[in-house]
Amino acid sequence: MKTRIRELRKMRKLSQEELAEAVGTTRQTITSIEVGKYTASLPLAWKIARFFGMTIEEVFDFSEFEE
Amino acid sequence: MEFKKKLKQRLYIAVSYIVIGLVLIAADALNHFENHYFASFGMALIVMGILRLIRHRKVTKDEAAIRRQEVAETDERTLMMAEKARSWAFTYSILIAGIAVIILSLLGKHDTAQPFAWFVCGQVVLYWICWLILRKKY
Repeated sequence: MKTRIRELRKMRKLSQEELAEAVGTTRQTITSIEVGKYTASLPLAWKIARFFGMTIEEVFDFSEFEE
Repeated sequence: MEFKKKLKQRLYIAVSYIVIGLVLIAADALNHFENHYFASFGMALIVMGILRLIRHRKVTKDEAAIRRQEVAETDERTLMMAEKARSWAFTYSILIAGIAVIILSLLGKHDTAQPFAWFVCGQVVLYWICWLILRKKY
């Protein structure tokens, strides 16, 4: 799944480690989500979106699920 | 808070290992068994207990270390990988045992094939029991 996490993180000059700590996950999980290897669960997606002050749809790209 | 409780339980388990190990060694020394199975098992438990204590000490060094460990253990990707690994291990163990049954049967070694066949049957039955429980739960 495509996300805007890397872009948002860079805009705020945050490292993966810092974001991971803020949302209670590991740096490796953030890396996997950023490169699209792993899709975050709903609670984690919500935490990430809330951290950036956005909605889940603004951070995660759900276009592949649209018919 | 919950995780700290978990850590405390782990500490108790480590201490229990050491105590049980000591009891087994003492039982072995007092009863003069033919082989020193109890003493060896007791020693293994003590070593395991000590290793667990060392790890516990490392993990509970400070609040940051506890938090790091909690995140590492509850990280959803890690949990997903662990679950997938268990699922793969289960699938491949059935597959390998199934292949062993076929090969051993073709070789005429029916006595050796039988435990493997029972193992496959047992695993499949267990799978369906788990599936039914999970279906009820979710």
